[in-house]
Amino acid sequence: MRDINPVLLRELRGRLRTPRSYWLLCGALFLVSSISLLIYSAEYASMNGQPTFNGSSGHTVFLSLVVTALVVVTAIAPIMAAGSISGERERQTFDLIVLTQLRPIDIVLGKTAATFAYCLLFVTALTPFMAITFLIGGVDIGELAMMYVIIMSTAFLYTCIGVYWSTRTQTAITATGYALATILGVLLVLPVLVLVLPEVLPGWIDDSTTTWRQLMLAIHPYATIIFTQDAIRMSTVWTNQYTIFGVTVAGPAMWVLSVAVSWFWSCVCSILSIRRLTPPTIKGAS
Amino acid sequence: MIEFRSVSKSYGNTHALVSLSCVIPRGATVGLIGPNGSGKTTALRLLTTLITPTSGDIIVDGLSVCADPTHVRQRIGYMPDTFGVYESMTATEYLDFYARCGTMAPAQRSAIIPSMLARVGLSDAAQTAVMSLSRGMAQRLSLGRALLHNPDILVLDEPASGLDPRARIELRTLLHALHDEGKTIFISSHILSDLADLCTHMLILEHGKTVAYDTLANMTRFTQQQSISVALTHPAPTIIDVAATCGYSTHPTATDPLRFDLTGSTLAADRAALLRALLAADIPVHTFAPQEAALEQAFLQMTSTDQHMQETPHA
Repeated sequence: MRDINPVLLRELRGRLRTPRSYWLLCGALFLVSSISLLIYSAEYASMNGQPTFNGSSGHTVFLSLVVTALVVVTAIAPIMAAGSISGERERQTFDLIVLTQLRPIDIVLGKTAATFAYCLLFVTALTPFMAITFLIGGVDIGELAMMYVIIMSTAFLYTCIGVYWSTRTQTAITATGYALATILGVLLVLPVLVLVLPEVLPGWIDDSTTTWRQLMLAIHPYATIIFTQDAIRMSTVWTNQYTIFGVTVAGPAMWVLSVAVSWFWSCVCSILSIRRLTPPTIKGAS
Repeated sequence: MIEFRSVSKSYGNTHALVSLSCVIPRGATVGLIGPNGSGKTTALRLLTTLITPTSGDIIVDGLSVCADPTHVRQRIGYMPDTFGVYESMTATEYLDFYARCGTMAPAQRSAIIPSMLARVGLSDAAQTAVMSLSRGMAQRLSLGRALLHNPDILVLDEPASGLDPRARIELRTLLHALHDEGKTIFISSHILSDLADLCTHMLILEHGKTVAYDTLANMTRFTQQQSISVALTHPAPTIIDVAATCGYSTHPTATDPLRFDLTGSTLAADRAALLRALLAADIPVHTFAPQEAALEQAFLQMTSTDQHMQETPHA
């Protein structure tokens, strides 16, 4: 049987043996549950104290959980991943790993999997809170699964971005800065572009459909959640109609597209990370 | 065999290493000495493939560090000057991690790790957290890690730095044993007395340039003092005349009126004749000791003092 990736094993051991991980997890869960409780309380108050076991309230609480979980993942995935390789450089342990027989792909996969595993732990720990929304009602298992897939794809992409910057920088703080700047740049700039582009390029953008918006925002998990709510309301969970140059074609639903785009960019980041760690060979050297 | 072929390394306009060329025979223990910033660590990092040369190449058992770094790495065990620490890891887990990284099978790992801990004298610290090991123990663990995959070549950057005398002696004993096993060892160190004891060859660098590369015997012969230290049991002024008849000059030492330095021929026969003459003249000789060649003196003679003066302007 093939051994578990040693980098993954070491990272998991190191991370789970320190109290920092437990406190971080506790803090994240406290944040998510607090925000959900606040929103439920607001819903309850708006019903004039009447019991709110209806679909609307359950769905609102569910969405607040999903968005808060996404915010937490947006923060912890790049921050943890950014310190993975640059942190080894700071501790002066990176040279020793590079000199072993581990391939660059093993190092990158180990580091990526370790951070992703922590995000998975967080999302798994969130499950009991998600389950409460079933008691209230308004959420089905399909939607829950869909949101889990979006959150985990986002976590994976942001982890890969963090690891990529980690391979490029000497210190964890620099890598974290670059990773957060990249992610926040995409999250903040894309919606602005969506608003501004029809004004700037009126002849180029067909503003009568939402297709170009959906395609541009496919990398934006928060926008994906909003568009997916529309799709769920219209019961078009798996497919979507896209109008391109006046032609309407059926395509995958926005969330499927978003997941595919996330995985594509995750692969790009991972390949770039592996290339960064591959020792340069000088052809023709004797 | 390791061959440096006109290896140079530059960082922008800074030339860290300039055209280093030398051939290191298999089984040699090479001491790398030089002032701070002379290019020692650069030379070691080039050999370990951690950095690539700006020009030239290093051939390790027929493999080029430029063209085939992956295979070169399999032959080299590297012990850096700093001991990188992983939190919450025991000494056993530390070695297990690197053994796994070396794609060692579980059965092989479980056999080699206890024996490696025993070899570096850390069996009692097997379950001790790496963070809490003393500097000497950490250095030995680091050496154990470097030896895990049984490399032919060991590259040690300042292995004795910061060690107490006992730890230094233990490390030296371990390195002697490794030399006896036929491993080629590269050691960079500022502790010249350790190098003089360990090394078969010396490479002296200064400002990135090669000052000297030779066997230790040849290098110290170059600066060998042509003097004999003679100590008397009581004063005997005639020693000057007797030594002069044998062709030796006598120089009293400043610290001890009964001790003299005699300079002249370094031939063993001439020195034996001098001793016989002293005894025949009833000179009360207590000790008669030809001065040993000193690596420190070779180093001081071969390297300039500019660097030191620049670093310690108030000295």
